[in-house]
Amino acid sequence: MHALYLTSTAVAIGKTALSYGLATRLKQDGLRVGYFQPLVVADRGVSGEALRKDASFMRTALDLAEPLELLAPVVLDAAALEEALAGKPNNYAEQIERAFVQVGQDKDLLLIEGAGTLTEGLLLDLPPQALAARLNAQVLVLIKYTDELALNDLLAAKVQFGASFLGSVINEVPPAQREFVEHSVIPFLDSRRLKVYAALPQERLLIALTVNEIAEFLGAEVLNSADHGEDLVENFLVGAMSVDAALSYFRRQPRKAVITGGDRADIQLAALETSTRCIILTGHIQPSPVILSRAEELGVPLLLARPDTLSVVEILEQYFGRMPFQQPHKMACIQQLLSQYFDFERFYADLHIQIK
Amino acid sequence: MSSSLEAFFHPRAVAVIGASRDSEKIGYALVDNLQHCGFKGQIYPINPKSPEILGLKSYASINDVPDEVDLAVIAIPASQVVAVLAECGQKGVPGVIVITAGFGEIGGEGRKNERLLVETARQYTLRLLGPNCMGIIDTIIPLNASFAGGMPLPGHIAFMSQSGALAQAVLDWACAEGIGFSRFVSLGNKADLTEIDFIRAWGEDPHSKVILAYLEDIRDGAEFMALCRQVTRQQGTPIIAIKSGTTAAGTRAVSSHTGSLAGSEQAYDTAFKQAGVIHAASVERLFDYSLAFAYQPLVAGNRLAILTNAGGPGILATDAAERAGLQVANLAAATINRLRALIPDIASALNPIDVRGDAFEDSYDMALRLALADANVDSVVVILTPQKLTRVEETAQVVARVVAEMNRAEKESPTSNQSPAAVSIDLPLTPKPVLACFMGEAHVKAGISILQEHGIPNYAFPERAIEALQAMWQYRQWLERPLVQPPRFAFDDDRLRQIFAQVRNDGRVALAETESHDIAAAIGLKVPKAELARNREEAVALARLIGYPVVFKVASPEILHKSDLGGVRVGINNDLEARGAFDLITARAHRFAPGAQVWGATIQEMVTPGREVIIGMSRDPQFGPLLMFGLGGIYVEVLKDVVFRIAPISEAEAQAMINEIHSAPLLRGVRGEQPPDRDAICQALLRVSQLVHEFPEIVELDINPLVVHEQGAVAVDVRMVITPE
Repeated sequence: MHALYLTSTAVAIGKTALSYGLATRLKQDGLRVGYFQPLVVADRGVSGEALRKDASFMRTALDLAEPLELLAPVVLDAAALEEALAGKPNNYAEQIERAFVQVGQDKDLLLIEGAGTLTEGLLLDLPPQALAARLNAQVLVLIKYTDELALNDLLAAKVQFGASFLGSVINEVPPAQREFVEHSVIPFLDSRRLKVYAALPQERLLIALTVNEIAEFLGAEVLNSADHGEDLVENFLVGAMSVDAALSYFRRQPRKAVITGGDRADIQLAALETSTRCIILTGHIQPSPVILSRAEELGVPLLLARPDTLSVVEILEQYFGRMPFQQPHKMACIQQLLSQYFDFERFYADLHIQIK
Repeated sequence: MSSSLEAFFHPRAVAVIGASRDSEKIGYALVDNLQHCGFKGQIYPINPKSPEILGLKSYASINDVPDEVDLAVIAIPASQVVAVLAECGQKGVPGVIVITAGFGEIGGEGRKNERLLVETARQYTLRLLGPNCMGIIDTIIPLNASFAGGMPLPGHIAFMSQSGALAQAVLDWACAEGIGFSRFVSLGNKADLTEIDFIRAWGEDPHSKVILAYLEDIRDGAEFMALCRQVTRQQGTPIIAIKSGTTAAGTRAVSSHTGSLAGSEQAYDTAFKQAGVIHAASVERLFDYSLAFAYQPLVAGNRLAILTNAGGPGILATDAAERAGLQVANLAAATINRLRALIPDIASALNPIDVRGDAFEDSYDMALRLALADANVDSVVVILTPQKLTRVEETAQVVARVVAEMNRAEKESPTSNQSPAAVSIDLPLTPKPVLACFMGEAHVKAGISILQEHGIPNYAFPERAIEALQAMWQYRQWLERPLVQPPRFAFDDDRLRQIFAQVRNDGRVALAETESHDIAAAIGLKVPKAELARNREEAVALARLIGYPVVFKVASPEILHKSDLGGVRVGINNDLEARGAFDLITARAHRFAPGAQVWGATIQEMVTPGREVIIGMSRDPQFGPLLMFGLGGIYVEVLKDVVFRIAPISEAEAQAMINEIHSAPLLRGVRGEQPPDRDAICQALLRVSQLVHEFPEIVELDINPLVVHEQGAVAVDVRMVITPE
């Protein structure tokens, strides 16, 4: 059985998306693929099944039989961290190893969704390199491309993982940097014997939220066009200016949500005039019926929210760009990106996997 | 008149669907108005419940009417209107007025039903007025197919209103003021027939001398402009319009009312100006202007004589004239001498002509004749204040008589003057407009009535009379302005399309600086040499290639105000500075605009300083590409010294834009400095105008600055936003 430990240099840069994309592709290529998430760092205020949401998603996606507690054996919540700080010894490593053995049965490859950063787990004496070594896994590191400086993290990771280091995937390459990455960055990394299996272009779809998700986070009522609830929103803008200024402003941001007061009919119309995926009406003011009809004709949901504009912005900022990925659009998108950009041939060869 | 509207202008038989015997119902008012307006055709009340209404035989359905029906007026509950409209279609009724409210204006079901109405009308090729309107009134036919309170006086003014209720009030007021109308239409929701249809029809109407419009929105700005241009110029019918909802709060009110995004006041004002439409700022002015147009000949020039019996009002009129761009005429020496000779106790024989407070009508008579006869005078405002000795009615009669004689003189020259006092004064062969300003109320009432009877508009205060003359002068200038087609340049269209496709392909809407510059170059503007450097070493190589000194600018499609973030460095002189500049501006961009895509830095040739101007464009939802021009820096940011035009523009319009800004003298060269190349600005305006006209996908464009030298101009910073699909 092959074990592949997937980690990233920063959180929320596409680890789950890559896990999903790789696992489904490997399965499609005829491999028996398993999934394992050794350590889950709990978000504050989350409990129950939601704690293991990534594992739960992958369990369904890969149609796995193992229970969630086995796929993600250790959850680090606030209590667990307190215990660690108090110096209380733990047996996480043993728990993880036991679960790993079980999950790996009858599998050709086990995809391990590892740490969100290169330092995660240090607090528990379980840094990524220790875990990868214990599980005898080869390591694939995901980085987000910002500029050349991002490569430092990648070079550091190679040192950190030593012999376990397999290679890397570069994510979110801006369109204008594509050529530079291909012609300068990848050859440079090659010269340092650092393999890059894919340089994936920036894809706004992957950081988007659906209209329904936004409505849910805001506790907002969807007034119309519920059939557009799964439309993806890539960004949001606040409309609180004069209508002329609004038009110019809204035109610069396609596929957006516009946040404005229910009484700002002019702003709402300006939003409808431009590429807008939903309008969030704050302060619980019902829109004019004429505008409601217009929005319905255009298929742009109006969301009636109770909080004021500032609070709506605060709530949305928490979620934008950090939403795990679990929407059909995004799943298809990552699969398509990988088939286009990921060098599977080389990947399989390096792992010594034969595809029938 | 336009044949598709024949039913509305020459109906022979009118059916009222929803006619009622109940005098408190609209269905009653409609039949009653039709019966009492002098309409000569057949009236068919339709009501399944009453066999007879107001003495007329009533029918259960329109299909039961034995004869043809031209025009049907529907006033039944909204839920039944679509079905009844279809019946009208089956019957072959060509014109239908839907009075009933509860359609698009309430949204939801109402909006859907309104669409059904339109579909039904199209299916039967009938034309539909309304819904949610007051109807149509015509003093020429005559016809009153409305539920208005009464029939207006006959006249030469054609009036359309998007607000039925406002129109009701206005018609009532006009009746009291003695103002008459040729045609009136309440447009309602404009589901089918809109202002366009009526402007077209009335433009050809010999009975309508002026078209008035109260509008809340305009659906098709380009068509509106083209039509108004044609009507005001070819047909020579002036159009005066008031557009409500132009302030920020007003826009909001219109938006929630009509469900359409009202364009900016700027756009309306510009569009009206370019289409020859006179933009009235209030309902009062709408009528002030219309009276002058409807009853007086159009002014030939801007030289005005003021005739008064009091100093104060004469000075007020003079100030107003000066402000309005009119000239207080220099009277000919002969006129001055004769004024002094014929009116011995005249207070001033210079303009304003002051006949003194104790002047009788004979002084007014001679002064008015002399003023009109003077070749230096294009129009006269007759001011009267009711003083102790003033003979108001007699004076009104004298004014009326002189004007009538002048109008007759035109028809039957040579003149046959009848007034004994004026035997030796030849009135002009071409009539000149005379406006009256009999000030006061109680004492002048009878005089004003006489003036009105004789078609001489009276204004309560001098300023209002002057503004009406200003509107006429504006129209005269419009008529005399040569209409020139915009020039046509050969652009590299393939290159433009290729860039737009690339931007969309990346899922972007904002063009990168290099892309905008490529576009500017493709339309023949001069742009500085510039290249994108993605890293430090590229930056150095490019800076050398372009040649020091150079400018570094952060390259990011999301950072619009680069210098605000410290994203611009000018005067980079060597490799060392280039490396530093690259690191500095990219680091600042990451710090001050976290999350923004940073592609690197644009390395740009340093442009020799010159006069900085701005060319901008924002696409207006109603009227399309609104071009803007102004001087750069504080002139645009602080002083808002900018002018607008809707593209495409002709060379004359481009020149006019350059001349209209307040700071225009700076473009002519001040204090001995060499003037910047105005022709280069003009060319840039024309090229941008063609670009935004031919590529509607461009929704925002800014060239800021265009640096203008003694010879030529360079578009230093160009920004553009396109639509996503």
